[in-house]
Amino acid sequence: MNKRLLLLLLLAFFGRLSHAQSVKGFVKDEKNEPVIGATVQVEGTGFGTVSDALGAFELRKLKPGNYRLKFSSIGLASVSREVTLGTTDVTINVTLKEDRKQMDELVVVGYGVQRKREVTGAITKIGGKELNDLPVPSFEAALQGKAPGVQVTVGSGLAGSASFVRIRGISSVSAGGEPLYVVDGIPVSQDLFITGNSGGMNNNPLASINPDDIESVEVLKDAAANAIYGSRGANGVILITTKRGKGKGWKFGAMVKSGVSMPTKKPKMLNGKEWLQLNQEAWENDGRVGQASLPGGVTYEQALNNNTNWVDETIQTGTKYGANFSATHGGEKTQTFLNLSYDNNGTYLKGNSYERIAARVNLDYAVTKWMKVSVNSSLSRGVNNRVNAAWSGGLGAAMSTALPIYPTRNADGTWFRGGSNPVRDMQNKKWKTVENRALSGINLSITPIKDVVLQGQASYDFMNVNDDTWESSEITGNSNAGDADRYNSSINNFNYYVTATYLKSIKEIHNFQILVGNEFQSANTRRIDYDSTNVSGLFSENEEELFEARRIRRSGTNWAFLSYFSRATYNYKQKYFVQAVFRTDASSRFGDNYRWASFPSLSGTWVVSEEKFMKTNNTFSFLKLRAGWGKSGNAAIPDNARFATYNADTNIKYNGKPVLYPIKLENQNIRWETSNNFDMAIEAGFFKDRLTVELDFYRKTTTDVLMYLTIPGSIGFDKYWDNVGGILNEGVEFSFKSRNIVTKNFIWNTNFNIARNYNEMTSLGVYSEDAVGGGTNDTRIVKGKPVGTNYLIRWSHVDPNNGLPVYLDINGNQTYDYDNKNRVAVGKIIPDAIGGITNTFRYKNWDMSVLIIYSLGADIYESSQKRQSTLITDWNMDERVYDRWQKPGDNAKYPKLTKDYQTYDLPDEWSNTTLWLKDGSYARLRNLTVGYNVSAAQCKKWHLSSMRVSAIATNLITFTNYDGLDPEIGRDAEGGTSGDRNSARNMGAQNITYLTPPQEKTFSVQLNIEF
Amino acid sequence: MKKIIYILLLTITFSSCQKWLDIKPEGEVPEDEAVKNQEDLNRILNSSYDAAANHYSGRIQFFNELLGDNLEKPQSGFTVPIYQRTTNYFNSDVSSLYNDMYHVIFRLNFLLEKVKDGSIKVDDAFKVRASAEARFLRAMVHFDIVRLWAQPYGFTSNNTHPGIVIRDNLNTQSEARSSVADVYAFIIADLNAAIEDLPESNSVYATKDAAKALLAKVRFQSNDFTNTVILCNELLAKYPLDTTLNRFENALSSPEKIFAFVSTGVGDNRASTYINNYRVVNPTNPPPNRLSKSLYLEATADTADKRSKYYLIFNAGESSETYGITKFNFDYLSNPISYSSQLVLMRAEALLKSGGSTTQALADVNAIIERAYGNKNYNVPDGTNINDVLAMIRKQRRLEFPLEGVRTQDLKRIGALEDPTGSGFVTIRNSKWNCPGLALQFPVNENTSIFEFNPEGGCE
Repeated sequence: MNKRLLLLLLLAFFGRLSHAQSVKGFVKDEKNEPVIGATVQVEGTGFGTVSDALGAFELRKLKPGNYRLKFSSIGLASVSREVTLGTTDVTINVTLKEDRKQMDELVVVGYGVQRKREVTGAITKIGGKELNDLPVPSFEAALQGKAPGVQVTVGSGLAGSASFVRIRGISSVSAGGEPLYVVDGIPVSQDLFITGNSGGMNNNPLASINPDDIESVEVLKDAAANAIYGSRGANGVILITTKRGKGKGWKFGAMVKSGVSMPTKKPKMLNGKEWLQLNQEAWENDGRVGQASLPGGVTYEQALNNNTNWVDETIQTGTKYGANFSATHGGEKTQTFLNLSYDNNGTYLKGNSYERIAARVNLDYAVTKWMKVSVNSSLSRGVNNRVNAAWSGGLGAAMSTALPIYPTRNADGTWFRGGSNPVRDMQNKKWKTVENRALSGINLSITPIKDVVLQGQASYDFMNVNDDTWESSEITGNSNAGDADRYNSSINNFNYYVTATYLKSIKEIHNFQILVGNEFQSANTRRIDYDSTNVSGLFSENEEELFEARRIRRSGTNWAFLSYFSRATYNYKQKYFVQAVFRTDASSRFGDNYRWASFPSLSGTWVVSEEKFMKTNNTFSFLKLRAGWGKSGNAAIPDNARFATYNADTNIKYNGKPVLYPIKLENQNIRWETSNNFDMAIEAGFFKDRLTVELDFYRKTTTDVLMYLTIPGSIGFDKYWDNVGGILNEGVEFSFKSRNIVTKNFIWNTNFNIARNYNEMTSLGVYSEDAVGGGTNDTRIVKGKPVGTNYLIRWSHVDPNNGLPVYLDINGNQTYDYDNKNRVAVGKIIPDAIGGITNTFRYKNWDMSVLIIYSLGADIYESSQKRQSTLITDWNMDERVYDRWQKPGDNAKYPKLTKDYQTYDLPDEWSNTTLWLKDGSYARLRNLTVGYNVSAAQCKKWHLSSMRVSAIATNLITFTNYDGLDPEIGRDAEGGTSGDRNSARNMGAQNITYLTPPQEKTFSVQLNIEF
Repeated sequence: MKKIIYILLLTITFSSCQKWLDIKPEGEVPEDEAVKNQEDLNRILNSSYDAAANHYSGRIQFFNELLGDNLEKPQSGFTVPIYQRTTNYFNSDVSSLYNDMYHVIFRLNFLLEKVKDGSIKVDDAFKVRASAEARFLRAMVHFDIVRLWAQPYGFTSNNTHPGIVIRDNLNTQSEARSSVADVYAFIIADLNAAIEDLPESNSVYATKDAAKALLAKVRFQSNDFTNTVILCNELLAKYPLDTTLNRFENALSSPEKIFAFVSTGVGDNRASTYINNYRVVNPTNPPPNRLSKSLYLEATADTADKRSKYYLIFNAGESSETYGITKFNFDYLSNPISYSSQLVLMRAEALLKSGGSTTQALADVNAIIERAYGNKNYNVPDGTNINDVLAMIRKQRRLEFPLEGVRTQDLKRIGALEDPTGSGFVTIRNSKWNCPGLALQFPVNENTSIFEFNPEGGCE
């Protein structure tokens, strides 16, 4: 296509006329930096232009006469100038002042930016500074308590473990529940199950994104905001924008930090003598005489002498340190941002750390006045030194199977092997997961004619994960050097989009913006396993051994999305805004009948404060009402879900002959899970924005919920994908930002937010409560109850006469009988309310920031306590067992000890009751930071532009009635396939603990300088 | 330059083709590509043997033994409630076996349907043989499901008590349990059809005689002694007793072999569960699953019985005394499923119970005893009281087939026959033979309005 032709066409279309002279000049900001893309309009003519990369503009071929030019740019206050044009050209230079009004803050909205004033959807923006004020291993943990309606639960204290992020409740069962993460326009790989659930955790793919790179995070919460991400917006979208070069010349920043880590609470396990006593008590309670039998092949004498504190053997004071160096450069045509980071997060678990080395280059280059090229490129390497935890050992073993009567070593110095020995396991196993990630994009922006911007971006997100383990001959039991395994996964994620934007203003009264675009994303995962039985260490330390190792290709994933979208906004005098979004997506995961789906949205805003009758109002500095409706979807199911498939592996044989067998049932009718969203909000600023308030109401109804259902095994398969039932989420979010005190020497600001979510499974179709499993059979979906309902037999009390448990039957009558038919909905993993409050203080050079987060009304199911406080099995117990029945008349919390689960009428030792269901409400002092900013004068002496020293404490104090370790908890999600796993994450992992290591409490100091 | 860029952008935008979305499943093949011809169907049949062989590798037998009196209580895990006869619908060991067994049935039904509906061209010989093999395996699996998950044949006088879901098609809906009478009728119909159409010889796969041997077991389990004797007579004329003691050592080559699952190496071991459970690696360390004292004492009471040498005692005299067996001390084994020793003892008992030839019955049991002792000195003398002969036959069944899942079903069968009211005369490890927990509970995924679960517990 010829540019001239295009121009002609467009000109013909818009009926433009040509004139004689020109007005030109530069648009700059207060710092004398060029303002790129400022709109220059000739008022009353509809004629105008946009400033280029140098801030230069030129209005050509104007007829001589008097004109009024208006200069405007997002985030800057508009300026008007009178110009008289004669027969010669006129030059005028304009300085636009920063418009500090919060309502004109720029917000990233997906394929573009908008001013907060014109945003018609529910979007929360969090600046990079807010994110980086506390040391977190992964950026999403820093969102905690800062965005209303965004629940972030850091899974555990394990380095590199995934968090749970839920935006406005849960609207999915088996198709994930996590928001879509988009980094600089790239929907990034976010598979939580790259390494399965090994070692008691799900790997966190977001940990390889460097928090120091982040300029801002925008959380898109309703469909008006996330319909532009269509099929993948149902659980919200988190947009991450990285820092870019700005200003003039080079500027440098450097940071070093160092800190320590400890558990928020230490498990209080019994010592050897206490355990032996309880073991004997149980033995006698069971009607037996003599000395109770001991596990592990230890004699009574040995048992008495051994008194191993396994908790102390598996934990430590962890150390953390890191450094960051950044350079930004602003030039005439080029902007550069460089960042180098090193971060080593050692946790309180011996041998556990997450080390990240990351480098980023972001370049912007104005090739010509009408073309700009941007490159974003980051390389990161995450080295996770892994340990067993929770159910798989380590501290988990110290809290369970590692009995205090066991030694670490036998008298002859050999390892004790008679029972669980986490020290032996730890010292004879090496485990390292190394993730290398390259996330790169190139963006081309062209302004072929005024008012039209074309943009294209191509990106590639590559991730290679090597999960290496090695076990010595001590563990493997053979005489070889040891067993090494490598589970290699490599993820290729390619994406491009192109957009065309047309901006049009008619006399500044009618303002239009239309965006149309096309996007395609294709991703695949390749998996290869290596194993060898005679290697002296990890494959990463013995790369040459890989050539000799057995190599097995496992099946990976392969999927693609093709999308077309458009967004049209219109505003009348910056007062009334209307936005319509339409996106249509096709996914490879759905069959021809249901491949395409459309996701429309319509929303509007009324900036009341722009009305004449409000101009004289001194109370309101800003008032905006907005409302929106939209649809969004979810397609996070396995690639093959719809197919009836057969094995492709020809190595499986019977009688030496190949076999062919079905793997699963077909469902070509599987389709998009769809959410219908309504949102209404008031945003207000008072007293010149000293106080800004936002109040949101939403109602989201999800239908065709994707479920990985349990079906009768007699069909031949016991699992099946289908669209079943519905989910309702409705709620209120309230937040305010207040500058309480603003004086020259003292500033006190408060940010507060609270969100209330009501969640209900409105329909389950023909299925029963057990259609989708969760947790250790403790959590279910129940019609009329929230997703993740604790569905349990009710524990009434311990009978004071005989010490036996008394349960409640379905009618609430007391009974000694334990029967699964008596299960009822008694709890929920979703909180009633979540939020946070941040107070920041500044006194002269000192500042202090205090963040308290809270979660109210959720329950925690402490699945592992049944063997820590009642049944004597091969587990150690914790001190809570003291409150047990011992003799008739005792009013105790826990029943009489027994070694036989049938004493309690249980069918097995894993049976659930409400005795282990706890109130999980908590408030936690998440962050306390005290900083000192070196004075400008002193900085100048040292040739620095700024310098700051700070001391940071995280998870310092927790207020809760929960008697377990940590109320902010989530176990890893287990399950055979991704459907199982996602169900498990939504209702079998969050707020369920099974020996899960508690969160970290950290103390650190940090030095930041800029020069 | 702009020109190039526009072309590029336009190309990218409009060449986006829907074909990009037609992505093949990774690591799996869609049905329409996988199943296209007779050879593919033959592979599905082979895979049914493959899967069945894995579940009969000692696993189905282990579940039977756990309910009975040949094993010690397991150390931990979901096998403990099986042993305690307290399975509930969350027992994952129970549900995975159940699902796995019906999964084999799905393969067979798929094969039967494809062969029948003509959507894939097959020759007539294949159609007849493959269908007959499928019905043989389908009967075999149903027979073991009904014995594990339902009360035995004879639990009610007309066997109207609930059995299991019969699956003879690819319906993906929930279905109700059929009565035990209907399940047995279904199994027998399948086996009769299989006997009709199966070849006399068929490599390692099912033959006419394999179906007859299974039918004999079904008849015997339902205390139909006349038909048991007829079938045993016919088969024993062709398959003489072997002289060696352990059927696992020569499962394929023994003259007794009627049907077996074949193993070709360590990586293809169809007795893997037997070996994993009971193999004694180190003579001082007990295996993962240990034998009951009752079996050990009965099997080792007479050291002249050469079979007693298979048994081991660990930590003798200590509180941790426990027992093992060396019969499975191999890296891999082919797995004897139907063989003459079984039929000989079945015939002996059936003859006695149906008023048949006591001479033959005595000859049968003595053939087994003589082989075990290596001489006739321990034979049951002529003229021995019939009840004593019967007791000896039943004892020989326990000693001859330890851990092969025979004992528990024998006790259930005998209970239904000789103690129909469950008076406590016939017990299985201290529990009445008909106590509820002796039938495994169904997995929770069968939970629909039309499905009746088993009552739980109720055993000692």
